[in-house]
Amino acid sequence: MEFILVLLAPLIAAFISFIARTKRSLIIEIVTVCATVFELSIALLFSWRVANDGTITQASLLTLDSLGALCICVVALIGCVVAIYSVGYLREEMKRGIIGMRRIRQFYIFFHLLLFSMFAAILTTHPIFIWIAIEATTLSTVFLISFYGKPQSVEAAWKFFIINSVALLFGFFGTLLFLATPAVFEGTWFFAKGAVVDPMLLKIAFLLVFIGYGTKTGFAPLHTWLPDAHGMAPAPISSMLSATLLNVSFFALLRFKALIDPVIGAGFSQTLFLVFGTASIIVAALLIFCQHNYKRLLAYSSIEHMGIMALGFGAGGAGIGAALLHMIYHALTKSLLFLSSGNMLLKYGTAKIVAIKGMGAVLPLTSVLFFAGLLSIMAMPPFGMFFTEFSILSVLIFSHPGIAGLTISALAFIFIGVMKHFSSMMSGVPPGHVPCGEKNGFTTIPLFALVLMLAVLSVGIPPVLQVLLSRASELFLSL
Amino acid sequence: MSLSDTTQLFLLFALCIFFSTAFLHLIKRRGTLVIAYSFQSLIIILLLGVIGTIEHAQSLLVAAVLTFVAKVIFVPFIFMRAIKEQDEKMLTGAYLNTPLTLVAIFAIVLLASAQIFTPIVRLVPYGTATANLALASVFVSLFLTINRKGMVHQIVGVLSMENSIVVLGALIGFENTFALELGMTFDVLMWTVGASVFIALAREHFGTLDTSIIKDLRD
Repeated sequence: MEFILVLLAPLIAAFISFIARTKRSLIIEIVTVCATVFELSIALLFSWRVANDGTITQASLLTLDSLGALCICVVALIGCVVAIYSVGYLREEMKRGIIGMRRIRQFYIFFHLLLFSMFAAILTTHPIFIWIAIEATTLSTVFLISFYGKPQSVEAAWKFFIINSVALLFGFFGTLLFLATPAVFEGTWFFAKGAVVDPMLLKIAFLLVFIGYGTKTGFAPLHTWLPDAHGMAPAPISSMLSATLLNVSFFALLRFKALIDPVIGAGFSQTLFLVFGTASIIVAALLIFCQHNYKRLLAYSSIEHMGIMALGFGAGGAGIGAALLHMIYHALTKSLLFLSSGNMLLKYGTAKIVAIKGMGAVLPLTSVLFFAGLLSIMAMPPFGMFFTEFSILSVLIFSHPGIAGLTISALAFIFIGVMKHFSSMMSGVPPGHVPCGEKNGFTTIPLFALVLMLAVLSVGIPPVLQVLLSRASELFLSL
Repeated sequence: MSLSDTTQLFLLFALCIFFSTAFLHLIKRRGTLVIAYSFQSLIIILLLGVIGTIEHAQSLLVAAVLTFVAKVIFVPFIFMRAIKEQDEKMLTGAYLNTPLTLVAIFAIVLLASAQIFTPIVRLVPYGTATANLALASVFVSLFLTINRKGMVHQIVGVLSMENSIVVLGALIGFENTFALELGMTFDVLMWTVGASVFIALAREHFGTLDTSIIKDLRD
């Protein structure tokens, strides 16, 4: 019954945002922050229970296991941080006349609906319900991407809409094929011992599901919607897309992997993860280097990191635990970077790298936090991503040395590209029309909180998280 | 009804669905396209009703009713409202001309009969030809979305692909609970509303529904 609370909270908040016809956004902001804090509290409480008591099943269709607990915590945490940041960000945009009260209401309605659909996708184990929930994320996100109503935002939203819809139909097709197999459902799906299954059918089904959810995850070459959507959406939404939505789609893919691997062996899914993972890292490396827009640069970085996570699952063994931990570090770091990019956008009014000069003087605090985020995203020690990438590459070097070599080269290329762009943004004299100083507490405190969490988790992992990580890894290792 | 009669009947249905899908490629006017889509949906409703009656599957009968409400009444209503009269004058083309499109459809039918899809075809108890045609309909619908430049054609391509997958699922014998059917129908309805909003946005911002000219965002 308690799971319903997690699903109801965003729905109620969306409804209140819809009916609140005030001239000021205060009521909606209070409701939004309270709802996301509540969702985070419930998510943490459930995760603690899962760590102690194991998988929780309620109302037969709602299940939270260790993998789901990790994912729901990430979504609820980022949702809460983004909600607080959005208050300051949207107030500033409203003050400048970029948006009006109608847009703010629209933002919060779809923000809560996005959270609802992601929670639903995580909490259900029925493949069709997962599909419906993931499709619902597309519908709730699309109007957040076209939020500013400019031609380019509409173009980005249309691409997102049509590409993901077609891809998710492949996912639907794969899901139907999977349901045609003799899999049984008892809280979770599994194949009974002795069940006769056509391995080729399962491979086709998984391939279709991989195309469906892999497109939404942003694996190259299925990624074409991602840079446009991340680039054109408001900064808080780019942060949500990158840090939560991609993870939820990846999570849906993992649900199927855990199901088919015991029947047809892990080799097939591992090969797919390795191929798409490597392609994603290489494509991201090439496009990061020649990027002109810092939001798109961060979007390509998300493709790169989804690729790294895929390599972890492709490598197997210790790579799986590292990939799961990488998901957490990436979510924290990428939301930090996108929210920092929001501060830059508010200040300079452009996302063009060439137009950002003297950032250190204009946004001293944001610059430091942004740099910390960049170091983390490039896996520099002592940030946790260094250890996760190192673990994944260590496994890969022995199992697939060629892929490991390619990945290391691409990562080096990305490092050079990112540093080139960052130094260009830090150097030079700020444009005359840009005043110095941070905007407000709402747009800086969440960044501090993210850096703090990143630092704490890089130094040591709390015991509860360790338990969840090891149990989630066992889902794939025991195959 | 004997197995042979049932097989013949489902082959006829599969043929109708395939030709209605292929016909979507030949339609230029948006209004006609939406009507053709409703007609395709009507065939699917009949098919769901027949399978539901033969197999005594109540869920398929529920699906038939929900599909009727969603795809024959609601979806055409929404799209007809979204398509304005002046849109009809701004006809959009395809990347391939009509003869080449027909050749491509022929190639897709051959592809759907390929050995690799045998595991899927084997799931359908009503004959290989029926399964191949249903599978070909999925791919031909996808081809409509890829080949046509018009926004409405692409949207109808996606909806037609969803229809074709539902047909294949019904032929395989896949049954859903009422909650799932309702969820899927609701999803299609919301998707349609979203798509119709895009039609309005595109007209407002670009003055056309031709997606081939919308290409500002490039690296």
